[in-house]
Formats: sequence, structure tokens, C-alpha cells
Amino acid sequence: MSTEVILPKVDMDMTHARLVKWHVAEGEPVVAGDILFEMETDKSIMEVEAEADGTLGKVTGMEGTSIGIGEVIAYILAAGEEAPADDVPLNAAPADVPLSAMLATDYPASETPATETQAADVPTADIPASKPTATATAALETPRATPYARRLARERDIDLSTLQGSARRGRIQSADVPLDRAARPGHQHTDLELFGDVRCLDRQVVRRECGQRERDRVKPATFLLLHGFSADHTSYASLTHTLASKGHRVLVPDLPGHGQTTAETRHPDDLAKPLAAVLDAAAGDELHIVAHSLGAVPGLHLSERFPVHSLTLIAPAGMSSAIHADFIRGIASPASVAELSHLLRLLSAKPDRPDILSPAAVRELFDSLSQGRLTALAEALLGKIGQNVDIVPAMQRVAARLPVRVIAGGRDRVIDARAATCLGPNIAVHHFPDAGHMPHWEYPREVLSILERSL
Amino acid sequence: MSTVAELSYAEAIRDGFATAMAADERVVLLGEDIGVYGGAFQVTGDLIERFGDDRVIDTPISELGAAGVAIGAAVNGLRPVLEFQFSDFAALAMEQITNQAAKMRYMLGGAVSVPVVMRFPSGSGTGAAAQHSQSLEAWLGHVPGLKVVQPSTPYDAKGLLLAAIEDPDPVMIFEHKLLYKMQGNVPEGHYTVPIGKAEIRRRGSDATVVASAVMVHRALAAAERLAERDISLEVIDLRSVRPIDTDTIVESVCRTHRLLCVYEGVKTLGIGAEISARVAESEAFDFLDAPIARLGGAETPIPYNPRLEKAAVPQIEDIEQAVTDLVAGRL
Repeated sequence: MSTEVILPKVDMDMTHARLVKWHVAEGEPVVAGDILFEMETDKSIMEVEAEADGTLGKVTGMEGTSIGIGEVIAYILAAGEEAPADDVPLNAAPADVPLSAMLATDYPASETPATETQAADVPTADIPASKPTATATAALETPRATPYARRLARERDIDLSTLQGSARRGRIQSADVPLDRAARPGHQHTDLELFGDVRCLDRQVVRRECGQRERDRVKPATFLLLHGFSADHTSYASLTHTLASKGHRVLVPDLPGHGQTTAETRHPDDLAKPLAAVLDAAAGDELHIVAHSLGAVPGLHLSERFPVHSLTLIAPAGMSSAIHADFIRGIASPASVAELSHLLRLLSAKPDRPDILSPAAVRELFDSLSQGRLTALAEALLGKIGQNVDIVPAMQRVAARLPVRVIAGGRDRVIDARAATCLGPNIAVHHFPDAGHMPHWEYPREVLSILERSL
Repeated sequence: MSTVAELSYAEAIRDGFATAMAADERVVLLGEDIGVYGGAFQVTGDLIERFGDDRVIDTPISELGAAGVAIGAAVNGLRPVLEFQFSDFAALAMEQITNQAAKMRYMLGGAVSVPVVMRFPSGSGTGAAAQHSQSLEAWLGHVPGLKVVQPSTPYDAKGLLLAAIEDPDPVMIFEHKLLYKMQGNVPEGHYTVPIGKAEIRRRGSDATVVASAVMVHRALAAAERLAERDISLEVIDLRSVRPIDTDTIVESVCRTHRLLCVYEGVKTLGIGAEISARVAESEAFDFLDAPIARLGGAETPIPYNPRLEKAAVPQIEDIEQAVTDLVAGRL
């Protein structure tokens, strides 16, 4: 049966929207989930996905016109199917101009303007799925940034989309661009301070008073960011920079067995002990702990023993037995750069951006992991059927005293994010359906906004 | 330039006249009540006693007539300086200024030049209401063939006056009425301030304010307050509306990355619009770290009520707030 393509209602008081652009020309095949068209509401331009597989037919919605909500603007037809005969909608093209021909001028991909009949005759399976036009997608994803910030990012070879803007409407300004490449994910940062046995980044930017109006002023707090298995402080580079530029003190240790910290560890429970020196350095501060993945274990340990204001666990380990064991073992002692590259791709949930680290960064990481510092820890993590770590009782104890949040990605391929829904009513869960194991990389703005809610 | 005296802005202009008139007998002054009365703002003062009534000439109450006489005298070899009682009365003489003085050199193929100087007491803040308080420098700045300057200090008032008298083309000098009593160091004797050159009055690193006339002093006061909050403001005194010193402004914005234009004339289509556009068109574009901002006069005739009059043009607090917002990324 043909599927109606309608303009969806996305806002309470919305009656019309402007059809900005079709991403699929009439007669072209679509797969459910493909971007079908863009529409503009009072608030934004948004992409609308196809709801079914088939071929786009009987396109009556014209680009640039305002169309009522719920109005049928096209059909998705199964192979051999005809669009239902229908009244001609108000927005239809004049009868003597074939719509498909008009659309084709905007879409060089379809060389021959398809007609309705042709569209119905084309077997779907023989034609590759259509792609959104590159320019349209790029325009939507380009971050707002000042010319100077763009210039600095260009000079420092930094991807603007990894940055968080602090000016109006989220605009990235020069202050938001890290000073050097070292601050980017995947790059070693030099000269961490030594707290006891642990090397730890201690960053604080004294923000000038001018930066905030009275009502915007947030009391500076201290954030302790704990990285996950096989990572180090650089995995928080972007978040560190953003929090610091907002006036907060940010402590990011390299956990035992990791990065520049020379102390070793064989068991997850040993990760927290050497961190006491870091917490002593933050004594008296309003302390918020953010822990990713295996960092949840020391994060909970510290939250039970020190005065902590909030605990945020990002894709935490130990919520259930489910874990990608090969990932852990492989990362702990990768056989080759190639193997490591494959494993790292499991961290990404974006099929169009499978590589989260640059080739140089992967090689650097390989050299570091090849030393085998993590093999004992990896074995301690894994039991016969899954994780040997259970954080649930500690979470419930801590959640009885202070706000505990879990940020989970629906496409996490390392742990099972669904387990976050079974932690009890005291624990808030922020679910990102399209994020993988690194929601703070894939949704930096949203994660930051969640963290700021604890202040 | 041997010795320096502390003079008011009005006295500095008078000193400039005395210097020019002593050196060059072609220099003559025209205007309403500039003789025995000494001028509406006492600028010409006792010059009639020093140089006689054939060089300090009271004109009838007809700005159009006086402008025509001054332009004719300039074309015929004198160096006349015409005083308007209020810049608002330029409207009465617009034909002579914009169609005759500005165009004669062009239309006669360079056969004549019009070395006339016209002085316009301008601006609000004196309770003189809508027809005596306007800032019309952008009107005349729009006309090719004219040069337009706005001195902000006694030093510049004299130096720009002497440069204007020596200039072969018509030069319009807008003197802000609130500045006439301002004191400052003025060298004795002859010196000039170049027309078309802005001056950096205060060095800073966080934002550039381009201002002119009394707004320069308000911007400097705002800069003092902002410095207490660790915001470093650069203040450029535009000095010349036509030609505009684009280079100085662009160089500054490349260093500070932020620009605020402050001007008393009505905001729309004002001087700040021109400066903003020039910066946006320049190499400074790539160095902008915030939208360009403008503070200008309200879109209204200047009110008589003193509080409304104050509210109608940028004040120190407005500049301070605008710079704060600019630097904080709130624009």
C-alpha cells in the first residue's frame, strides 16, 4: 500500500510550514530513515525522514511554498504500485509543467527527469538508495562561529564542530577555540601536575567579570572528570576547555595504569585510591564528579567517601553483565594499528563518521597500549559471561544522598545502555537514542547543559 | 610651536584665527553677530578689534546669502571662513554648500577651486531643542567635493582650522557646542592637524570604539570605568568624517577583534553605518570576534525635556554597557 508523505506537526501552535527542499527527486527510491525533505517552521529548519521503503511518487508539494500541516505532499510507492487518484492539492504545480522536470533541475543526480509512470516501473532494489545532497547537509551542520574564531580554528587545524560556543545563540568565539592542538581529543597534553601518585590536569581560567551579567553569573564549581578504560585526560579535552572557560576549575586525572600516571593497577577497585590526593586539592570546593565508562567505579568510590555535590555517569560500566568483551581484551593489547582502528570504530554511532580519532592519534594510542599496562585490568573486568564489575548497589547508596545521573547512548556497542532504565527511581537517566559509547563527544552541547543543571 | 598655553576650545579657535589672519591677509571671517557681539558662542570674541570690520564681517540674517558671498569670495582669491550660529541652519544654505561649493571645481574642469571654510556649532546637550541641536555631519559627509571634520579637543580645533583654511577645497568644521568651554593645551603660533587622519586616544586590546566630537570624551570616560573591570578599550577619535581614515580603524579592529561605533547623529544611515561597512569590507572581517555594534542618536528629533534630550544620544553608561555586551559575546 502506498504511504502518504505529509508535513508533520512538530510544534503545538504550528499550522503551516515551508517546504524548503526535497532531498529525493520524484521517481527515486527511498529507504525508511532517509532524509526525504527539509521544512522550515517558525523556529528552525528540520529534516524529515522517510517512513517507508519504496519510490517517491506523485510529488505535489513544491519547494518554497507554505503547506498546511498534515497535507499530503507525495507518496512512497511500493514496486509496481500507482499513487491513488486524488484531488489536486492547492500547492500542485501548474498542469502544463511536469513537476518532476522542475525537481530534476535542482537535482543533477537524476539525469533523466522521472515521470510518475517511470517511477512506478522502476524496481526499487536495482537502484542505490539516494543520499541527501552534500551541500544541504553541510549547511545545517556548520556551527555558528565568528570570523575570527573560524580563522583561529583553521590555523590550528581544529574542527569547529567539536567546539562549544559561549556567545549568543551558541556562537563560537575566539575564546572557545583551544589554544593549541594538544587540547584536542587524541593528542597528548604535556605537563600534568602530580597529585600524590597521579598525574592530573588542573585547569582554571579566571574569567573576567565582564563575561557575565548578574543574572547569568554561575558560582564557579570544581569538576572532576574521570576517563574510561584505555583513555586518558585528553578524552575530555573539549569538555575541559568549555567548563574552564566558564570559570570552573576542572581536574582531569590520568587514572592509574593510564596516560602519564606511572602508578599501575590490576583491578578496577584500585583505580580510586590514588585519587585521594586530587580530592584533597579540591577540599572546600563545590565538587561535581563526571565519570565515563569504567571511570564510574572510582567515581562512585569517591562519591561515597568525599563531600560531592553531584555524580554524572556517562555510559557507565558495571550496570549489567553485558559488555563487548572482545573490545576490552583487544584494546588492552591490540595486535596491530588496524585491529585497534576497528575496535575504536565501535565507539562511534555515526555511520558517516566511523573514525573518531585521526590516524596519527590511533597510532599514538597503539604505541601506548602496546606496552600492555592494561592487560591485567582487562582480565579483572571480565568474568565468564560478562562484566565482573557491579556498580548498581553503590549507585543506589550514593543516589540516596546526592543527585546521580546516567547519560546513555542508545547505539552504545560497548555496554548495554538499556540497563540504565533498571536502576531505580532515584537515578536520573538521560537517554540519547542516536549516541554511542561517547555521548559527550557526539552531543557535547547537550551533555554540557545536563552537567550545568547540577550547579 | 614654542610655548604652550592652556586655552578653551573656543579660545583655541580664536587663536587659530588670529594666527591665520596675521599671516595671511586673504583670511576673512563672515557670520551673524561675529563682530562686536563676538559670535553666538563667543568664538570670534575681540577679533574685530584686532583685525578690523573689513576682515571680521557681520552678515545679514540669511545663511543662503552669506554662504553665497563666502563661496564667491573664495573663488575670487580670498580665504573666507563663514560661521553658522547653529549647524541646523546649514539646511538654509544647502544649495550653496552642496551644489555650488562642492561641485564648482569638478564642473569647471579644475579651473577654479573653492577654498572656503564653514563652521557649524552642533550637537545636543544645551537644551536648545529640535531645531538647534542636531548632528548633521553625515549630511555633508555624503557630498563628494566637501571635506568634513569634527575636532574633539582645543588642540585639534586650532590645528584643523588652520589646515582647513590652507586647504584648496571647501572644508566643513562641526564644532560640538558642549566642547567650547573644554580646556586643553594649545601651542602658540602655527601648526596644523591633517584632515583625513583619525587619532587613537587610548590604546586597548578588547574592543575598539570609533567616536567623534563629544562622544570621544564619553568613550574615554567609559574606558576608565571598564578598565576597573579589566576590560581594555581602545578609543579612536575619528576627527574627519570625509575623508574617513579607514586604515587606522581597520588596523585597530584587527588587533581588538571587536568594533563599536559611537556617534551622536541619528543612528540610521549615520557615520557608524559607513564605518561598520568599511570594516566589514576590509581585511578586518576575518578578525571580527563579535558582530559590529553601533550606538547612535535616537530616531527622533532632539527633545527639549533635559532628561529626554540626554536619553536621545549615547551617554557614558550606554557605551559602558554596549562594550560590556560586546566583549561578553552577548550581541
